Amino acid sequence: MKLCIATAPLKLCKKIIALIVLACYCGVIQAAELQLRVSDTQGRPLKDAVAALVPEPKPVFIQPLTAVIDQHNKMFVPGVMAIRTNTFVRFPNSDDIRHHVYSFSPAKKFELRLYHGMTAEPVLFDKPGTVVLGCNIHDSMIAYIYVVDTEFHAVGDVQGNVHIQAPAGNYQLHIFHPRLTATGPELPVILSENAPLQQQIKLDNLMSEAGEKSSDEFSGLFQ
Amino acid sequence: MTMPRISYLIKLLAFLLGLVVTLEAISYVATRVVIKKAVTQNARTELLAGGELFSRIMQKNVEQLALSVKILTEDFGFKEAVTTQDEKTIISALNNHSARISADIGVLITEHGKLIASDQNFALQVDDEFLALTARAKAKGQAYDIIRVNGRAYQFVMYAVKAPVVIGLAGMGFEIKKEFSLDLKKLTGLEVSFIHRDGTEMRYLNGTLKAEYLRDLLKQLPQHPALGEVFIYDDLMSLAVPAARQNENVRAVLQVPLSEVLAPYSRLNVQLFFLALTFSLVAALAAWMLARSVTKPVTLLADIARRIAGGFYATPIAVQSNDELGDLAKAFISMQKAIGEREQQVLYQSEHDPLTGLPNRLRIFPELQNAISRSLAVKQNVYLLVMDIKNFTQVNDELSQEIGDAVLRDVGQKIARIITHGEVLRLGSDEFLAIMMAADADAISETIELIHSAFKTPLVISGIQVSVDVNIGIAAYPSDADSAETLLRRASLALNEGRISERHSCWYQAGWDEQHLRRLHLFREFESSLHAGYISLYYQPKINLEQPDTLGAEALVRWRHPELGFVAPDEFIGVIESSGQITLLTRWVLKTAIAQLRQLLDEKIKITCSVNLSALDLLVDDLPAYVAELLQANRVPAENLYLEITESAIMREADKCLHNLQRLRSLGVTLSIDDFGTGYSSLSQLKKLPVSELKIDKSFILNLDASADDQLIVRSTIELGHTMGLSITAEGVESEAIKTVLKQYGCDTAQGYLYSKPLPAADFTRWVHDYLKALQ
Repeated sequence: MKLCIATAPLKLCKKIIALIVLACYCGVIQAAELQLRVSDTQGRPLKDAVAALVPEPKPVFIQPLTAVIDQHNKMFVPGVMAIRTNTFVRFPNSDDIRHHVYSFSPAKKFELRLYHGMTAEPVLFDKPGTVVLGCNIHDSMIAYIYVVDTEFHAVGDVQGNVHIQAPAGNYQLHIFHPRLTATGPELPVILSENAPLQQQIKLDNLMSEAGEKSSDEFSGLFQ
Repeated sequence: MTMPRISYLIKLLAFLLGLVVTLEAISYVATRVVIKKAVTQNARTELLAGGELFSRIMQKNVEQLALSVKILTEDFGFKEAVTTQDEKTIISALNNHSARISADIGVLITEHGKLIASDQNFALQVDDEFLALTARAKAKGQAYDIIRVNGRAYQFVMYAVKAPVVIGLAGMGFEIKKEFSLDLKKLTGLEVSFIHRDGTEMRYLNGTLKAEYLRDLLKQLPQHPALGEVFIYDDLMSLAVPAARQNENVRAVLQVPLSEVLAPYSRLNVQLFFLALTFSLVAALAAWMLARSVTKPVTLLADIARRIAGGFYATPIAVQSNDELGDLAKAFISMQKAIGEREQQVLYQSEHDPLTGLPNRLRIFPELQNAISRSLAVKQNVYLLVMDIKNFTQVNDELSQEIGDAVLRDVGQKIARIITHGEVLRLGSDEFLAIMMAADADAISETIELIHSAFKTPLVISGIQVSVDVNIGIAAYPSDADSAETLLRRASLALNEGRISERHSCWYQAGWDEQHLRRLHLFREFESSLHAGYISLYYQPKINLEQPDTLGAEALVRWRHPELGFVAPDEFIGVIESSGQITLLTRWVLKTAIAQLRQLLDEKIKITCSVNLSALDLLVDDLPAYVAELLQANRVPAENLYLEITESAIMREADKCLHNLQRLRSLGVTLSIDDFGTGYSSLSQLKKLPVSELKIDKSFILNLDASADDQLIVRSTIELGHTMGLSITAEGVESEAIKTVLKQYGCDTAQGYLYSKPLPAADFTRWVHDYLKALQ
């Protein structure tokens, strides 16, 4: 696995930076920003990239949060979402047909049998990890929930830009993407309040986009 | 070189039959070729259809597999089992779904790469091909291929199991096994072999082909690498089809034995053959009938032509057709008629004399036969009259040939007018012939009288009166002759006899013909008898009455024929004179007599010898030379030879033979006149002849002592002869009395039985010796 991070000035004065981070953490909490630009190895921007800054040590979250993934037009909306551990996710059904939401992911296995509207109970995601959601009736419906041990996470836009606001300090940066065939990269980053940390991230081990398409057709067998 | 005769029928038959057989053979072969081509084409089409069917079945299988695997991978429970790695459940699900479509194997590969299979052996034996398929399925979410596991080939479809991301791969496969090939064979009727190509090596998987053909198939396949193209080897029409479009390593080889395909047509072949044979036979029959329709009339016409050649012109010819053959038949009819008419004309001309218009000699025997055969029925006699014009030569010579012809014409017409009941023919030159039938000779005699009286008035020709007379010789059947030939000969003999005896008409008398025939016989036998020695010379002595020792002899010819016996000289001399053989005889006599004379002279006997000559001998110019030669050759003095010529002969031809007589006389030979007194000598002629001796005929001598007439004639003849200086010899002296009379008259020499009859040479010599001895 390769991870290329452009950290221009930091390598020269590691000690200074370490002191600053320590001051931020111990003293007044100063806001900092991480600006990522995620692309594939050819430099094409990847949308729906998810980044999370996990502080060390890992905090423990008692207070549960709530998130929503709607089902609209036989699609999960949003299709990619990052949540903090110990978050309840509600799965309202906005379609006039039933859906059967399930996950066989180790991080959270569950099954919401055929239902309409708001009848489904919210599901608590209490372990970090990737949860892939599907509908047993509609094979094309797929959603990715990245459960992370931090509140500082974001989903990238179409240009592959991911912006996370977080207090200055040391973090372990986790990158996720639905097309990644292996675990996403993790790397340490230090945020300072002076200027936003800008990083270019290139992902390899990506699944091809086309592979998903003709799965229903036999004709593909004979090409 | 002669060509063998081949009838037109055979030629035509051979040609037509040859044509039909050739056509039939061509059509038979062509039909066979077409059928074979069609059948082969059909087999090719079936083979290609079989290949297509195979491809479709394989595709259907794939679709079935794919559908089934997809259903499996989308089963929620299965997905759950896969996520929970519940192996037993997974195997049962694989079995369950495989059983639904009778798939031979079902597998699941977890996302960690663990292989779970419905058949554990399969799981243990997978190799590269399977792993390659797995990789493709993982990459694309699905894959299909023909793979081999443990030497077996499978159609294998694999799908990703998604929940909803890929959590494993599920797959199912049909083994390409023998049952499949059997099914395929049942559907297509083709032999099916599944072959795996491993590089260049061909490996047989299974199939319906019999074991003995396998080796050849595997040997042949590398030579025909193209798939989907029909090829033929060893009577097997073959087609290789890939088991899957993307995998040509496994292929089905479909085959059909051409012999099997053609088998149903071999019966057709036999039928075709018999059909051709039947056609040929029918054609042969038709050809035969056609040929016969041509050759039969031709043969008929050929037969008719042969009959025409044989002289028969009345064969009826029926014209049945209006074609060329009909024309030919019509031409035959007119030809037959024309030839018949022309032959009649020719026959008429050949059988009729153009001058008189009478039937000619060719008609003689037919008419005679006709008359003879009719006469028996009507109990009448046939009379044959042969006539000639007595003085015709004279008329012809003195007047002219034209008048001669007119005479002949008028004579013929005259006779024909008189003889109304009978046939008149012209025999030749001036001879005519009449065939009449009557009960007795009287009627014929009347007719003969009529003819003679008719010619008493002269004919008037071109204003000239010509008197003619006819001689008629008559013979009758059956009294005078028993056949036509004899009748004609005897009538002619009668005419001759009449002519000789100067009678106008002469009836045949019995014996004439026999005499005539004997003369003919003698004539035929003479020369051979001369050579055979049947003819010999006898000698009769001539004695001088004053000097008895002065001897002479006359050589006389004697003929003793073994069959005819003794032939009298008077009889045969006349015959050979008329046949011209007399000169032959004379020379033989001269030669023999002179030789004998020589012999006598050698014995010191003083003797002369007389040889008789014919008048005809004297007409031959070289006789004197021959005599001189003989005398010289035998050294015989000429005065010892006497040559005698009869009086009648010498008088008839005196002028003509005078020259030769003078030449003989000049040789020194003595000439004498024989039989003097029987002819009509005139003294003036006698005086001209160079003769020295007269021989008085024995008819005057035989009764000399008793007949006063004879005495007068003999005495005056002797006196006359002596007056003319001739010596006189008397023949036929048989008694002393006669000898005395003769001696008294002054006759010089006597010859006769008084001294001796004629003797053969040896006896004569002995007689001479005895005589001379007696004188002494």
